[in-house]
Amino acid sequence: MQNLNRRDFFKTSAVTAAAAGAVACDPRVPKEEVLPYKVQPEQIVPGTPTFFATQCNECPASCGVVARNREGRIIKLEGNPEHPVSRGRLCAMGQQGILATYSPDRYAGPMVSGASASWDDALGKVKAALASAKGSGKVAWVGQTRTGATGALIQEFVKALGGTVVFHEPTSGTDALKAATKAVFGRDGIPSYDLSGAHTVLSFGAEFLSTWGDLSHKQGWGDSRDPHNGGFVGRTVCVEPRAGNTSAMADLHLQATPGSEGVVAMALAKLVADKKGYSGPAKALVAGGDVAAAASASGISAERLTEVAGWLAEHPSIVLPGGVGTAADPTNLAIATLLLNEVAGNIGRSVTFGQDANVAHVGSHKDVAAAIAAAAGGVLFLDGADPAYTMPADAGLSGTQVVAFANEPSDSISGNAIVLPPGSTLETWGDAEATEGIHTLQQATMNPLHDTRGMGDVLLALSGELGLAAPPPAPAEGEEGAPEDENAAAPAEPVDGEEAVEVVEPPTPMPALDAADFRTWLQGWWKAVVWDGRAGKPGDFERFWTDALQRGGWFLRKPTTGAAVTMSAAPSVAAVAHEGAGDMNLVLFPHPFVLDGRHANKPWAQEVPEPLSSYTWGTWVELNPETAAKMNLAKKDEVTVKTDKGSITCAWFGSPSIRKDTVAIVMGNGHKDGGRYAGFGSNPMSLVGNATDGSGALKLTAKASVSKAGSQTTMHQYIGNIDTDGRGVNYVVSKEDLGKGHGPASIVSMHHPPVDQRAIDAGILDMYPEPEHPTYRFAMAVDLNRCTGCGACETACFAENNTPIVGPEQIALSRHMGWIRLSRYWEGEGEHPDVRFQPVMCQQCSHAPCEGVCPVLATYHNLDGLNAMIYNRCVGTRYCANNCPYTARRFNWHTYKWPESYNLMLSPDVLTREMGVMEKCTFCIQRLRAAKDHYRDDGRAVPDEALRKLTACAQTCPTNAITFGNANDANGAVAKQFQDERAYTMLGELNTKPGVRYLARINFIPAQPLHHGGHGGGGDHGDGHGDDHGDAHGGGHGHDKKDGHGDKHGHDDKH
Amino acid sequence: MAQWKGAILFAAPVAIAAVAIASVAGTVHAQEDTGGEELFPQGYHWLLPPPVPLLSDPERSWNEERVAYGAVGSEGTLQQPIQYSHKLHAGKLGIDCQYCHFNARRSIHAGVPSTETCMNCHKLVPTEGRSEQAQADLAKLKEHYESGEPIPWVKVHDLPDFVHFTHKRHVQGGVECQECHGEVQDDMTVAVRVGELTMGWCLNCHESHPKVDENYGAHAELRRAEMKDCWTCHK
Repeated sequence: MQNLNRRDFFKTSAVTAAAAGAVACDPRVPKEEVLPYKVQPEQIVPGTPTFFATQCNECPASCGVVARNREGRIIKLEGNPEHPVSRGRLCAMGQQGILATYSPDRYAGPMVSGASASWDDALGKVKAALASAKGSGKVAWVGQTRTGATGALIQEFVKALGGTVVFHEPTSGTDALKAATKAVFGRDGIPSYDLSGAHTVLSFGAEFLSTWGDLSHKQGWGDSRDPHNGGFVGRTVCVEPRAGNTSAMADLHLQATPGSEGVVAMALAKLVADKKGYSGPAKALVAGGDVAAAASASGISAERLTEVAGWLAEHPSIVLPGGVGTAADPTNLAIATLLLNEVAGNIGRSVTFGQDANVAHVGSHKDVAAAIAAAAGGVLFLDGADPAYTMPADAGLSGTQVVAFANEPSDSISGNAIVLPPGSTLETWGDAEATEGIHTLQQATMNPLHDTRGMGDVLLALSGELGLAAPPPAPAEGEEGAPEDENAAAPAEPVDGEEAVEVVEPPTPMPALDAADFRTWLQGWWKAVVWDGRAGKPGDFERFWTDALQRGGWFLRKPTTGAAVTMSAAPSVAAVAHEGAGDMNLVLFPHPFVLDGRHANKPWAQEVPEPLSSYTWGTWVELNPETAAKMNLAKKDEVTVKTDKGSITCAWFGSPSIRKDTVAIVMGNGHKDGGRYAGFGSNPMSLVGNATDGSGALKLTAKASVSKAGSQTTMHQYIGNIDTDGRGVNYVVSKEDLGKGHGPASIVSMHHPPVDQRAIDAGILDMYPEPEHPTYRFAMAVDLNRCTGCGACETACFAENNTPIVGPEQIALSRHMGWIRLSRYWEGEGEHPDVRFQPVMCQQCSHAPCEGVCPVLATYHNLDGLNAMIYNRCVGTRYCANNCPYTARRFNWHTYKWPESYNLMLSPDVLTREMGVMEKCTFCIQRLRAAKDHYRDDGRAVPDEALRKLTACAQTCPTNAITFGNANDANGAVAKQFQDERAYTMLGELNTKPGVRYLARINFIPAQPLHHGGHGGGGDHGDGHGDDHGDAHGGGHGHDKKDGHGDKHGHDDKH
Repeated sequence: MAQWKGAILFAAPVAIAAVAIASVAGTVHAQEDTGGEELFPQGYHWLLPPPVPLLSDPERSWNEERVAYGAVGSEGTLQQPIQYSHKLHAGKLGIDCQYCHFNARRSIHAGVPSTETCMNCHKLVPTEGRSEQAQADLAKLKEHYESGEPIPWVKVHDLPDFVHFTHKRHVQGGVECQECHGEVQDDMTVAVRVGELTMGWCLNCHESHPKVDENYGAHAELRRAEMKDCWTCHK
């Protein structure tokens, strides 16, 4: 320590002094205080969670959620089972929602020009700015989608100021679809898409399994895949230059030339119309569809197009519109998909109107740019929008007084911006009507952490001070329908007629801008629009309100209808080449967790690996491995993507599912000033121009050139390998083989090891004694046919189990702490490489290899069939992790800390682990304990219904891919799934007897010719010769479809 | 005194080593410059010897050393902000434990009564003629009630964080409060800890508590086995 300098000496002296001080008090008594309430709140039982129904605002879908409150703090969000969209499930972004409340970057109070200010000061400045801008048209509101009473207030407020409101959803594709619906059907709003009954789902880039649409699409798709649900297995076809989660799950991924998707859709429409003998109004519109031209423009063979058209014509189907990755000509593509739906007979069946998504004020790129330009020199309100980040070029915010309702910093908040922190979703009141008639209510579920004021309260206060409230009675009735697209008043009339006794009662007046506070406004609006208007005054309003709060809203199911095509001139759909210079086509895609960048400051969004690339913390480009090989790219090399507009340098990922002439870049990262976690990576919006199509939707495409940058990336893929290397981890079965099996795993080839017949005869096949499971054998079934790799389970696991955020440097050292790993493998070659997702958690083996090697018995098998892990017993030898064949264990290399205020969301039911301790999935032992405790009160075992969705991952799974339960219960859901012909155990040859079984994915690749009479196919792998068919699995031999058609396996002719 | 010397002789080199390691760790830490505030905060980079055993009272016997948490016996009485007497309330006045600790039967925490619960009675109970201490304490109670400031009670039974204990199951299973907390109604003016709260002490009952036979009858054996599962308390 010769280089111990003076400063360090004082530092160390201080440590010594502090240590000496510790001697003075009795270390045997760590003094902890227990602080009682003054008055015990009725709703809080210390140590027991309370649940509040509220809503999620992470994306425009506004799903209902249930917030778990422990001692006054929300510690977890789960889907609200009563809500018709989320139906009890929640996606990864919804699970992250809680981070917004506890973010360490939150503003503690209002800010003016980057400095803290009092509410009086800040509001005074806003008022002054508004007073001069009022009526001049120089007021604009750009924000995230707000509907319901909240949206109505914004509309009223901005209207009174003479401004415009535009909701900005840059990656939703809503603007193009809205314009297309108007063009084809002459309707405002966009149709609802119901995937559950579709035998063929055709998507032109709409990422309905990750960032497009809402949870109902994911659930519908999951249902369409289930052979036990409707007796068919839906086929998914995607036309997209790259694969996101959706194309990865597709049975057929057609990598059409970017920009040719529109003509492909038109050609398909023509084929389907001919095949079905369609003679409706769209016949003339699709007559221009040209199969040969589409085939040459897209590179998809005419036979393939005819085949797809055949599927569409034959059975009920659904065609989804374009997405961000196919945005060369978004509106025309959307028009073509709607016409294709029309000729396929889907309008009114799977694509319906009547309960449209509420997108009235969602603006296109052009609208947003126009609104911002109009506000130049005036006042621009920002609410959750960040145009400085999401607009391709300079958003033009300078010179405008930006007033941001923001809790956290963003790129758009700079200069003289005024920040009025509105408080998080969990702290404030609000509502939404994302889909017509589905009113979700957002209640304050905890006390605000900071000096915040709800946005609604601020707007009402401002309108009071500016005297915006209109003269009371006259506009109230007239405006009743205004925020609702004149639908609000309509249903009220017949209802009034029914209730003949009360006919004289005048309609409840709408709330006015002179409402005392936002809650008054909210209740007033609900009373007028929901209770009086739509619900038809069911009893007393107070009662109705309480019920709605309890249920999370009021949900109306309206009859759905079709719509008549009103388009007269055929659309001018043509193949559109990307613009600019370069030999590659550039497409952008939204990050499945960060979306358009709005969630970049949420560490779970960054830490949970992106499902396809498995990259964390940053921006990467997707290249085909062949393209990369031509450029001599090594794994850690960085590449530079250059367009006319700019260039960025970042890491690359070799996705076999992207076209060789296409480069894709993930959006959402690289904020200049978006909080501490948002600065990683670069912003790809700098690469595309401002070009829009006819309806004003942004063309998020360009020509680009890609070159080796010469630098090395520090980014790390959590899972680098994309190949199963022939190990028996992930199987698929052909649809043709379904129903031909005879018991569990009878279709899927298990990787059978050579077995010594003498050992079987002597009954010594197992190294371990069979454990006893007298009451429960907790187990899990994961249906890989339903799993979309969306990452919701991983994120829910982070939330439930106090999993620390380790950051990119630690991830680069393979120290990721997530308990669920989402493995993804690419199998097969050619037109459509098969992507397979597989969530891997601790397999809870009955014969666990980890248990035998623990020198201190910190891990052992318990009576419930669980592989228990006792942290305080663990000494950190890591033998168990070395011995786990599933790599399910995680080691704490550090005592990871939570930055201030994230610590408040930790679950008190789960220990935070310390340095030197092993941890792993526990099957949510704390939730299991709570359930057992609950049912023990009645002296019974936990029933199957309560177990099915018990663990955090199973609870949240949007497609119901994960089922939890007691395998001892023969009638239970899990035991039934275990008996499914598709069920198999991972690495079954190791005979670890896991408590997790996977149900093989179903694909449409034709089965191989049968080698054996009756069942299954041939042997499977290189060691097929060694297979012994007399083993415990009951002679299950299918075939491994990993090579699709290959026949490289050895023969087995014992049969 | 000799023992003290021994302890210092032992402790000093270890403490110096610890300080040295800490300073190295500090230097390493400082190199990871993430713009002032650490982005991904971590605890120790290096294993440091835990300070408590090293600097604990060397006069304490090994027998006492195993009791890592809290004081056992009357010498470890904690200073409470108000000299509340269980002997008076639960014993002499016969108030049921669960009148105040009303969450014991339905939650993991028994709960410390809210100030309002105290005042339910103390609004009516006269203070005249009570001892000086009692009058001062009741004045303090009233003060807390009026200001809304919680009374900072000191935890007597403080389990380590890695132990999950639920009052609910124990109370509903018929375990008497006194079995763990001692005869508070007879001999405790200010609660002191009687139970050791060590793992062996817990397991004594988990292995052989008669209530298990009573509650589970034929399944008692199984229940006992379940109750010895580590995950019963550690998770």
